[in-house]
Amino acid sequence: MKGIMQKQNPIDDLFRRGLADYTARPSDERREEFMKDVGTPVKRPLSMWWLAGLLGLIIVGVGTAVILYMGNAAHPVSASSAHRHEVPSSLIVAQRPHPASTGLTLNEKVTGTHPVPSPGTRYPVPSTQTNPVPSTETRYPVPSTQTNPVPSTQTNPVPSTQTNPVPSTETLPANDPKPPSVSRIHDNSSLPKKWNISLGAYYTPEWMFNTLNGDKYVNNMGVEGTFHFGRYSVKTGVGLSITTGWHEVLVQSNPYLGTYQALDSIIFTWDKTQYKLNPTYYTKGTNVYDTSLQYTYTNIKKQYTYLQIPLVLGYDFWQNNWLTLGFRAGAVMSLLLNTQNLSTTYDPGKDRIITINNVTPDRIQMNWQAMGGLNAAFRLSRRFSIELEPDVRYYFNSVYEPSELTKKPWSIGVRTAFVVTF
Amino acid sequence: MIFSRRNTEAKSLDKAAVGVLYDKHAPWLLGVCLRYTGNREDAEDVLHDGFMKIIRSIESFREKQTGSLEAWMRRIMVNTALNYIRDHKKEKMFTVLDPLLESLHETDDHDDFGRCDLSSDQLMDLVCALPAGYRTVFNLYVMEDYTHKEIGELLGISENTSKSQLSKARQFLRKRLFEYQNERNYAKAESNR
Repeated sequence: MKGIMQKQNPIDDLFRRGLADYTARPSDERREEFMKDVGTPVKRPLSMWWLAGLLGLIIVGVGTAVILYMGNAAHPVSASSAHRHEVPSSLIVAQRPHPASTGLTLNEKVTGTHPVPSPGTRYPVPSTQTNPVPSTETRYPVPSTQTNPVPSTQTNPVPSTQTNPVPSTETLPANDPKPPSVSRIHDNSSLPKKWNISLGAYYTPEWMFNTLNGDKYVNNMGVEGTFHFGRYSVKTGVGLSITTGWHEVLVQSNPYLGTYQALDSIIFTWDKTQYKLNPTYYTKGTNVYDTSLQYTYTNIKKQYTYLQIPLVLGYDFWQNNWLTLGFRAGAVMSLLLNTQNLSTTYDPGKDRIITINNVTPDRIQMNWQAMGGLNAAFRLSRRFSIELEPDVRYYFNSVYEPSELTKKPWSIGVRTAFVVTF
Repeated sequence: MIFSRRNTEAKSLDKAAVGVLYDKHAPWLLGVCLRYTGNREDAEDVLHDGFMKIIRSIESFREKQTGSLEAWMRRIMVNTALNYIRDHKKEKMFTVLDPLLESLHETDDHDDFGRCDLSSDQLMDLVCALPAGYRTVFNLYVMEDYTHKEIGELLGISENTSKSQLSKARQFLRKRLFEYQNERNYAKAESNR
């Protein structure tokens, strides 16, 4: 069917016949360049997905490092927690180092009601703890804040009758058999309540990709409210998204050639003798245009303002006194509010415009985006916090009207927000 | 043989064979590229990229044995050209046109250009003078025998947009051909005097 239709068109036939065997010899320079390049191994450029993945890894890596660093920084045993490992000095009569390197076997002098460990009882010593050990003394006091004052490296032989008081397990608090975790050590007084509502103002610079005019910079700002319940949160709000872009149009016009005085009307009046009529000619300027069409591409800079309404769900996977890390994912609806010309429109001069066609399609009135990001909330006080949220957005439809050569855009951005918690 | 197998794991490129393949096919492939890009510089860029793809994937062609080598190379080159045009968006692709206006233009496509004696270079110049959107659709429809539906899917545009682009391209070319014929008739008349 299509073949028949094509045969019916003389222009198609002409070009199909005329260009079927068209050849053009490539320049020698390009041939040499090709022969040079064809021997080199392929270097695949880093795609944007790889870069986005790399960025995500860096964020996760930095976040993990921060978490670990904070965990280690908070771990030194404070006065309030040292009692958990405290050994009463009255129990200790003497301590002798033991040659064993991986563990200690100590003899005890049993006092009071403490159970008697068997001579072979092993007491594990945390590897990170360092205990100053006197080398020759057979009896020495143990400072009250010292934890597990057990010699670890001494090699003095221990007589079997020597009694070395070793803290029995009963001296440790029965309800806390292991060292407390970091989060339990922290004072939770500055953490927010179990559920709460917060209000905030945000600003998000966003870089869009897959748009017609290349990458686009977008400014997003607005206010938002978040309902937190436990580790989960729901956020919504209202904001403005402002971006600029070049709108290209194709103007078809007839070129202006000149102006001549065309006759408009003639008025005849009698002369004084009334023997003859005197004509008075009235003319008007008439422009003359070439019949050929000229095509002009012109750009108009426009500013687009969108109303944005997000609905974002969150899950906080880590929290301490001053920092909360969490995932955020949700949808954002954008409505085109206003389009404003920032540059002057095309001036055709005296040429006659025949048609104006949009090359760049108009912006779409509404679109939806899916977003996901990693949220870091830095708590300044119980009420105030600052959030930093690198995120990625995928646009479900193009920002342009359909039926054009447009891809679905995506973008990366960094949301910054100042939040007040109630 | 583009690749000479020394063993099962390592392949080395036979540059001489590549050179022969290039010399044989590059001229007509450059013609294909020129039709899409509209200028020689871009066409040579596309030819370079497209031929690299051909060389790097020619082994898979041998295995698949799908269609002729020329048709396969042509497909690769057309796709490369389309990607190139898409990535270099200095010239925008498609105009939004009034379908009613286009239907009116479609009606007078019955001129006889059968005796038109334009050379292939002159015809190519006319194609290159087309705006990018017109040129792309015209090439795909007329030269590559794609349907409007296929063009729409390939370029991400609607079928109607493809039709209107083709119609405008034909209108543009018809006007230029008439101008050429008029000039030629005028020159003949002048010479007869």
